[in-house]
Amino acid sequence: MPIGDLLYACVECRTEGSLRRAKRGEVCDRCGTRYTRADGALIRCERPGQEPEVKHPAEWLDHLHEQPLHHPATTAAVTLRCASEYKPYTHAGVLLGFIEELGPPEEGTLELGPESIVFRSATGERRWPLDALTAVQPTTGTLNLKVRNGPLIALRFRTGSPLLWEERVKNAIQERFAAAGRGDIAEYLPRIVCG
Amino acid sequence: MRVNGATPFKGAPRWEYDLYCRLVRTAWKAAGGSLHVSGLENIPPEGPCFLIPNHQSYLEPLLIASVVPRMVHPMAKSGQFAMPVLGRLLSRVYGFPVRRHQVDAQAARTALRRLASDAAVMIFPEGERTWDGRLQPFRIGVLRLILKVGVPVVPVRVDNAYDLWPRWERLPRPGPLHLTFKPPLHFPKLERRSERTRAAVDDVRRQLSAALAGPLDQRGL
Repeated sequence: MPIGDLLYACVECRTEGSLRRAKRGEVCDRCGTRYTRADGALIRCERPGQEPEVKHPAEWLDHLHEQPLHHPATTAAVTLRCASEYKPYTHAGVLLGFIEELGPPEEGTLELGPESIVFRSATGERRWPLDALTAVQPTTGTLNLKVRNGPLIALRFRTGSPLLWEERVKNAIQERFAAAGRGDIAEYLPRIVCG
Repeated sequence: MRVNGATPFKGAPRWEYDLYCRLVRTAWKAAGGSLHVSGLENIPPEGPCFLIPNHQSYLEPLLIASVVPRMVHPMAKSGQFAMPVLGRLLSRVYGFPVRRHQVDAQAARTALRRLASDAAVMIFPEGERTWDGRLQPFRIGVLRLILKVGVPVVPVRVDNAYDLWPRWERLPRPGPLHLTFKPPLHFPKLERRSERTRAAVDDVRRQLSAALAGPLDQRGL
């Protein structure tokens, strides 16, 4: 869902993850608001019974940030892959760097608690304390988390938006830092650094 | 010039590199796109330098490399090197990987080695494509690397790439893409870590932000 990757909730009814692909664009399955791409990267929003409104994605995102979501999801269906090892990458006999080797995929649900991130699957439960995270790295479809002295965790979202979950995880880590008197976080990549 | 006795890197010969560049430009035109380039004279014709563009889409890394009259050595995310064909091609055209989720000393070392061999190294200081078209915060590590070597820094302002291929869209809509190579910025060479103070890093950030800010950022959106 191209637009749904950016707009993690309907701008009209503020329901999270409600955009579904339709014959033309994407439609909120709660209030029927339709989203289509207009000129360039502009997004046209057609609320039922109202004139269409065209705005830049930055403006729509700001609009979403203005008010809290209705019934925000507390869990998301994800596919987890972990990378514990890094393979040297060479070309013509010269070491260029290292690349991560991701392990097999595992499907489950993700839950963000006040102290940790929990992944539950058929094989059991894995818990990563927020204090142990050293980096938060979003890609278009996945959210990558690095655990101190631990693996790189790649979470591909089957429901929910990685963009929204990135914000949630960052906010949760920031709250932990603030509570511990460690100040504001300046950046989350390549490692979490306070300003 | 060599760093720490490093083996000089052997990539594609000049004719092959030029062929890839021509292929990229031809494919972009054939797909209906156009390229509007200005300021190429601002790129030092030889010697080490950084090319520092803003990152709006997957288009500009290819298109910038295809128009620059000298070979460009791009730093690219490590995941792309895990793909067999793309990884080999990237390293053949002088790309090298960086792990974005941890401090990657090897990526910094590779960049330093390339600069020591008088290369033009391209790094996207935002570290990822923008989601909403706005300029994102720069990675502190890139700003420190700039200060560590003190070579000319050419900011490359990319315009309209986000409108052609926003991050949330699967495929691009070819159209006009604008690349502006700004006059090089010069920063002092601060080899010692203790010299690279917050004030020095902030100065690099401020000058780069001014050079790379686009209409959206200037409107304060």
